[in-house]
Amino acid sequence: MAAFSIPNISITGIVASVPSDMEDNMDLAMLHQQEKEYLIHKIGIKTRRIAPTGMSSVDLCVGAALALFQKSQCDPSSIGIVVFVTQTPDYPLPGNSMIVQKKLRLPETALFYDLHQGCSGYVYGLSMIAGLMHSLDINKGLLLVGDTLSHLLSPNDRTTKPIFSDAGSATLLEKSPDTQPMHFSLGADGTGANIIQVRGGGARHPFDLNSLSLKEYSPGIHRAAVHLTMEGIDVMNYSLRHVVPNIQSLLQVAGWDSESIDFFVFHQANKILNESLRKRLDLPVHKVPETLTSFGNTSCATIPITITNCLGEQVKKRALKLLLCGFGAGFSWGSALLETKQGIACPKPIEISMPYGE
Amino acid sequence: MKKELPDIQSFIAILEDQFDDIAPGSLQPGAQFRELQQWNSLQALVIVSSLNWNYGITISANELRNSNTIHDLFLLVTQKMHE
Repeated sequence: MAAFSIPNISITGIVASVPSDMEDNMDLAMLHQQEKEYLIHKIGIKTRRIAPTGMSSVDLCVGAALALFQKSQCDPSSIGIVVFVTQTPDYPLPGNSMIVQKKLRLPETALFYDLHQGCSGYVYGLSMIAGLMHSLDINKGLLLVGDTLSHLLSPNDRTTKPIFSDAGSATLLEKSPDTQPMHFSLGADGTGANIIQVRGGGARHPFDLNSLSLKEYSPGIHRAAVHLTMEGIDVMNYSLRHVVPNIQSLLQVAGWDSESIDFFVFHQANKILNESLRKRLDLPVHKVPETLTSFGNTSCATIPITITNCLGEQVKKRALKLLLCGFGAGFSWGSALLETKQGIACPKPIEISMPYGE
Repeated sequence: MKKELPDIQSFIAILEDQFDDIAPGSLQPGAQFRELQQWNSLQALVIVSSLNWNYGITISANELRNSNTIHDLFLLVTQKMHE
């Protein structure tokens, strides 16, 4: 599908959450001192947040949602739809969205959807919930987006371990007749399905006695079938091929001038890739906020982490025109153009130290 | 956008510039880049990114795996610029 627009729906609050446990790439035992300094300089990631065993995407998103309800003075009973985006659900089944119904005391009559998307997931989820709210005339919606990808990483894989991090988020959307339409453009290219992948543990390659066996793929890189793999070069190539024209065409279709946009909030992949995109689009550094240094690549949660960590004060003071763009596993990508309302709840990311439990 | 075809010297200079501690003029066309002490998956990403920026072409992970020397990379880049 080409670009499309959704009128009369507005974001009225965002809260992002991270585990309180932190790892520093300078402490990585798998790398020498010089390699660590080079890695941090090049990929731009110094510290990452790690969910302890037993802390899940539900825990992170429930923590964010509870803070969001409080900050935006929203009664959970007023929520008409929930979309939960994650690739690390609490269970193979049921989906996370039903689990949060109980934890957040949401109405049983609301709609509950789960969306299996990675780094493009915030924009995909935003388009899904806004589209359903508009077409079904729902007043309030809750978008929950989060992942604990650190649980899928081999501790002996230098291509993934220094990059991925954990986070959750909750975004409140409301019907709002006086707001600018949101504009979206989404896409996917399945030829890139294997460039970011967990091959084992699903229906195609079911979990068996060998699923946890570590194999050496190249010197210093050991993985099992249940670990996440990433071909960084191909991720960059797919991103440059698809993301740049996607953004350019969305701006054109929506009739927005690139210079009129206050901030371009990109998925935080790594500094090499993000800088390549910024330079390709000829964007000034001050319009492209980054959170790689402190939070790393938190998969689908990078966009809300970046908005709340970098733009919270400005979002409170004035309406902002934002371009949001996510890209990654699939290979999939999505861009959104929207205008925030002045004064929305958008505090700095909160820390979650304990799982909420089952 | 595709750019001007490089000569081997300017191509090597761009590669050398991507390493933190390789002196200008020290890489030779026949050098096996994977044998360099500084070579790893991150350095590979840095190189492919710089070739994309400087020459407007993309090199896949497989294409890089099938190249061994600096000259192989040079031929790959010039071939792609001709396409």
